[in-house]
Amino acid sequence: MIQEERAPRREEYRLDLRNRSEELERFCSDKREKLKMKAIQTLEERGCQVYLVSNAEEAATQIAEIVQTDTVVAYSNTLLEELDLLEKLQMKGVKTIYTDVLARDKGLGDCFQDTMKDARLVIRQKIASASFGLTGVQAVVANHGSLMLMDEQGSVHSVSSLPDTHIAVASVQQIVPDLPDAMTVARQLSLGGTERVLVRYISIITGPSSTSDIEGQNVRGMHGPKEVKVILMEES
Amino acid sequence: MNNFTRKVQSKVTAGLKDKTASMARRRISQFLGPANVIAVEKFPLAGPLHRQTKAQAIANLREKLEEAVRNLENNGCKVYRARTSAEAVAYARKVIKPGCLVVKSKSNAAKETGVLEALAQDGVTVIETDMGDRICQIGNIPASHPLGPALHVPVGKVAELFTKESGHQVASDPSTIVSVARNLLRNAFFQAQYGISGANAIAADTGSIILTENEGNIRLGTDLPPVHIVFAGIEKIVPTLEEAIHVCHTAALYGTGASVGGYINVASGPGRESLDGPLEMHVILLEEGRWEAIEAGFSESLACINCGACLNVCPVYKEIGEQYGYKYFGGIGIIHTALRNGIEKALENGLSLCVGCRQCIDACPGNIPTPDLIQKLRQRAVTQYGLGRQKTLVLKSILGKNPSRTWRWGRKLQPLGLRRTSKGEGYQVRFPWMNVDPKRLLPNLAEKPAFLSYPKEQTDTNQESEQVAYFAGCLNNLVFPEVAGATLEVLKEQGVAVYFPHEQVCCGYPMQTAGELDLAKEMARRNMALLTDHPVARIIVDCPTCGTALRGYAKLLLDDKVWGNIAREFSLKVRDVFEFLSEREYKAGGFGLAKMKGTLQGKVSYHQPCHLKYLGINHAAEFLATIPGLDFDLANGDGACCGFGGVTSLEHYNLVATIASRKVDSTLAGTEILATACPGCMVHMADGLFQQGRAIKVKHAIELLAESYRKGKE
Repeated sequence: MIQEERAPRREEYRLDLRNRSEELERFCSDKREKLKMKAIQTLEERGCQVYLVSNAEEAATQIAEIVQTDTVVAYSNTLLEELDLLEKLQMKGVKTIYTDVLARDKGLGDCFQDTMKDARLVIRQKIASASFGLTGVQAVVANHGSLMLMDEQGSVHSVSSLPDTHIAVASVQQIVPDLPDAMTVARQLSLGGTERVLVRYISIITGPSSTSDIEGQNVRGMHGPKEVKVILMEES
Repeated sequence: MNNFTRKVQSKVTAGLKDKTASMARRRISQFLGPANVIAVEKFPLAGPLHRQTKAQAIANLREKLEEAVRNLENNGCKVYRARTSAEAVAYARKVIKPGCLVVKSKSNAAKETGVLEALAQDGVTVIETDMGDRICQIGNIPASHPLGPALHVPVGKVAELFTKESGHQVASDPSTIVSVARNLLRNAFFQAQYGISGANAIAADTGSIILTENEGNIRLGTDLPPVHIVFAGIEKIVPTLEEAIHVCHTAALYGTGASVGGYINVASGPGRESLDGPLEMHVILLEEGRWEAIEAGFSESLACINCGACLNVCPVYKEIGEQYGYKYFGGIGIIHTALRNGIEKALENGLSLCVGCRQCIDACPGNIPTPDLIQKLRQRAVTQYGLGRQKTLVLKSILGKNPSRTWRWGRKLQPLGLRRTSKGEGYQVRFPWMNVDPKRLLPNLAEKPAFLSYPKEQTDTNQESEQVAYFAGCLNNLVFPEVAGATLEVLKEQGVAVYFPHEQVCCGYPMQTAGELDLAKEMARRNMALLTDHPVARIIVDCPTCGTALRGYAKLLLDDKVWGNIAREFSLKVRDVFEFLSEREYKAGGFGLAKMKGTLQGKVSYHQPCHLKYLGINHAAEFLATIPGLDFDLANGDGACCGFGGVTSLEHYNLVATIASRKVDSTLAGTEILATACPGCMVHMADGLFQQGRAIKVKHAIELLAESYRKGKE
């Protein structure tokens, strides 16, 4: 009975959400240039380094330049996959570790809890020992200089938190004006996948992690990354 | 002095003694205060939207609570509704196995329940992961501020603590310490079986826990351990995800001056067998005292999001910090305490301390009327425990009587109990049993009070003159008749016909703040009966505190069938004298130009009384600025409260005297006259100046204006 009651309401919700999303998309494409400038300004104000590149190829070149001979732990998300970014990085000789592969190797997902705990620990230590964590983003919030990351059952959290530098790849099309707009995006992207209204985890990141707890002096890299580098692509 | 007062007094003394913590607090409020104001101005809609969100959420709390529980459960969370702290603790102890390792991030609700003490008994190791909290934890140091708990600990001491903790020499520099702490705590994040957190908000529609932070400890602490336990009061529930995000925006804006915190984390249920995410998520919803708050008319207090903005402006918190409050700090903390832990706990921890400056209301994104709610609680306390001897004497036998009687007896008794100071600044008590600090400078009752000096009605005004009534208040009537005289003179100069009924009594504000509401109402009725027997357009006050009381008669007598309507009309007519003058001059077509003013001399600084500040009335300073010849500086000190605090000063003189000494310290160098627009501030600042032996005159701004008019006529 509960199911019956919910079905029409869910339909209504989807419809309303679609309208809102379309409206937001129209607004953003009209104001793209303005939003881009605002986003670059606020991201930099909040301590991110922004690299404006024209396409995926340039993005890969930029990332290779940042990473040099170090190792990158990458969380494969749709954007990165669509761009073939990880392949492009490998072609440039950047050492990359995929968390998906790590998880599969350790048998995460099809084992008992005890071994899983060990598997998690090993993988996390591996991620933490990498200098760079590479992720895509689901939205960029122009008013506050924030990045929105979403995850259902992956490791975007560890990858964006544990290494010293977080490299986030975003496209100009992903910039939205404000936080409620980012939530519209989150709701829209959460549809379809699960029974839930939202994916399990949404994270809004604004600048590197920091603390001012010792004599009021701001120090970066408290528990999360010391640096956040945003690769912003004009076209994706 | 009763038991409660004694306990509070010992806390006050301890707070005043702790100079390092006080310095840390001042440092925080110095850099946070202005930064917050600038940030808040950039987002003018944040506050109003927040108020709307919280008001709606609390009005529909039962419904939203059910929705939140349903959706959290749909997302796979285990939800436990705890009616009391004890229930919450018992549940947590069932979940957390003895001897385990727990990483904890800041949670006010967890602190409220006392779960940490209980877990310690079970042999559970709880590691605080917020840097400031961790410093306090390993050094066993009491926190000094909710946002920067360890700001008072010098960097050298912190380095020493982490040297001991890590077993390696740690250099005395913040970035080195941070990187050492990062590594140590990371290990804890990886090893811990449980993560405890609070919640900044809970979105009912999506069943999500929303948390905001800067350090990243919450992200790791809630996502890496296999079990995540959330402690949250039910007042954290808001209808939608968007509103929950707005709470985070508001908390950052008002708390730290940034438009958003470094991280906002939205967790909607546990993960499956993935790398990130807990496998189990428990949400403990604490109900203790919340329903009672709503039922007893304190629902506004539930709009608090613990941003700490009120503490940065609170004159009492600035001096005694965490001593003011129980598990939550400041005035709002006292309100939470009273409703959750009982009125006795509130009495013990400083229900009597709020000086009623009302600065916190404006600073708060929810505009929580903390001083008014505190008054309501004091009223409860008075019903249960009485007013106490000293307050009964002052409020009932002195202020509550007819001023002519008070003056007559006061003049007779003054020389017996009081001793004139050597230079004649005022009086001090002769005997310790009088329960007044022997150092305190008490004002002198005037030889000829205002009601004997000035006529009830002026006869020499013409028919068309605007009719106003003048309410002098006890201080201007009995102590500063020259202020009353100046006000009457200025009004006359403006061609206004003034009605000054001599039988007026105390405005009732002291009784109201002390919680003695019946007497306050009686005062209100007596004054209204007097002042409304003439058809006047305005009621003029030159004491802003009386102004607050008179403006508040409408609310005070809301339920009074006879007086309710009269009070509503009456309150609308109340104007501060400078507010009235500027209204008139504005109508006349030129501000400050309507009257000829003569040249005065001297360097004048102006102290803005709190009861004008919160109303946004700054006309006294504007008028002073138009007086020719005065070396007048608008910017004096930090704009803080003088600390008079009326009834608070009776019991906690050492506290209010310290606040006054700050005021005196912040007065601009070279000041000859410290002008203000409130006789209460005059009394207290005169005392503050006297204690430091400063030869600065304290005057009401209206006196200077009257003097200038007089000079203009010559």
